[in-house]
Amino acid sequence: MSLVFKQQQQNIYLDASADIDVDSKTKYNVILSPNLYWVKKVSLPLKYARDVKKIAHTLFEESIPENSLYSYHVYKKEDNFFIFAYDDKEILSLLESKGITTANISAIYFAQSELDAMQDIYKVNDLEALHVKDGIVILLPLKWFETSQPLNIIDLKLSKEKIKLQQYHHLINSNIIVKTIVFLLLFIAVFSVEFFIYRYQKEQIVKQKNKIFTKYHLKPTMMQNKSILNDYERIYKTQKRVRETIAGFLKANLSKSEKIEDISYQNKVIKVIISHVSKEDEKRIMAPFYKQKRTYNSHISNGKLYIEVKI
Amino acid sequence: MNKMNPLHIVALLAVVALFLFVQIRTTKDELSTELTTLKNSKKIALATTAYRDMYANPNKTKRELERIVRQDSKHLTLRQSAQMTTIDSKALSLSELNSFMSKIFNGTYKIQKLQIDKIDKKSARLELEIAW
Repeated sequence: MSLVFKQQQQNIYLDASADIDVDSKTKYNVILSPNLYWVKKVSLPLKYARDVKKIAHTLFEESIPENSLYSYHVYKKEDNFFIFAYDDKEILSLLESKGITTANISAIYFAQSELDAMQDIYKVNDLEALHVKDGIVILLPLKWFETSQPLNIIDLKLSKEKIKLQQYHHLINSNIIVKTIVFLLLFIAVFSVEFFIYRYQKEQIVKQKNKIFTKYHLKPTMMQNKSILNDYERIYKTQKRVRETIAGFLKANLSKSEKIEDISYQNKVIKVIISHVSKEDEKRIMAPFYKQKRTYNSHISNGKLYIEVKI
Repeated sequence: MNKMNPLHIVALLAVVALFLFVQIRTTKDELSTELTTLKNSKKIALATTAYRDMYANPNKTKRELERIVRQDSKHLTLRQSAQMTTIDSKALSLSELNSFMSKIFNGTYKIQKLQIDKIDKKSARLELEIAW
């Protein structure tokens, strides 16, 4: 079970002279005074407010100072478009000066959208009053009117035409931010695709590798397999040398009287006995082994040449 | 008006992009390592299989040696055990010895022990052990 405490909401009218008692626990629906925005009521051959918003800045070229960063809002009422231009920074500064932080703000509205149904003259401070003329909410000097009522917006039912202030509008052009976000999203999309392709390829290679391990009955680690291969290579080299060495003796330059009596191989040692060999003949018989720089032991005993060659 | 700071969104996206970039680099490196391992595995697998077939295939070795002994001489005796085959002869003519040893040396057998003693001008004694 969870308990949710709904924060209390309160409508306030914001202008430079407004005196507001700010409660940090309260959320405020801020209604902007007409002196905080420019408004134009126009009839255009366009269907949607979003199309009008694209050209909104051209309608205020004469009113708004050049190079100023204004935001625009448009809504349609009956056949007319109400187009607003406002300075986010100016409104935020005013809110700040009144002690209202963005955390305390529930929504921001224009007096135009909320008070255009007013029938009377409403006093907003000692000098000014609100009045509706030709469907536009305007601020006029209070002294122009003989009678007026205090503005009471406590129970005012608010419309859907709220705006969001661009807190960093003055710091960076929103276009740049949007372009940067699009650029980064594009990068993220490309990177994601690239990442998944690489991951897929890696998975495929791992599968191929596992297939090879199963097909050829390899051991689980490459180290074990390399060790087995090294053992086999050692056997191959040894067997090759045994054959080459014995072939060397069989092809040896022996005289007619010299005969191979015995050839044996065991524990990586080849032993050969050649009969009827004199001391001078030993060099001739062993010359090929001497040239190949093979390690061997030889001696003559009773006319027999005993040779031992290590493999 | 709890609006998110657009610069925070930019920073978050930049971090995500950077994270993905690092992940791509890591996966690329892993892919390259796996590729190298795959190539090495193939090489080792083929070589090991070839060597295993040469030196660690008892059935094939036994079959071939039986055939050689049967073809070459009646004087050759063949004995099989779990680890090796022993072929010996107390008296083998030199031509039989030549023919037999050529076949053994040209084959891929793991010669463990060999003993050839000359008896006289025409014959010799043979003892050969081939393991796997």
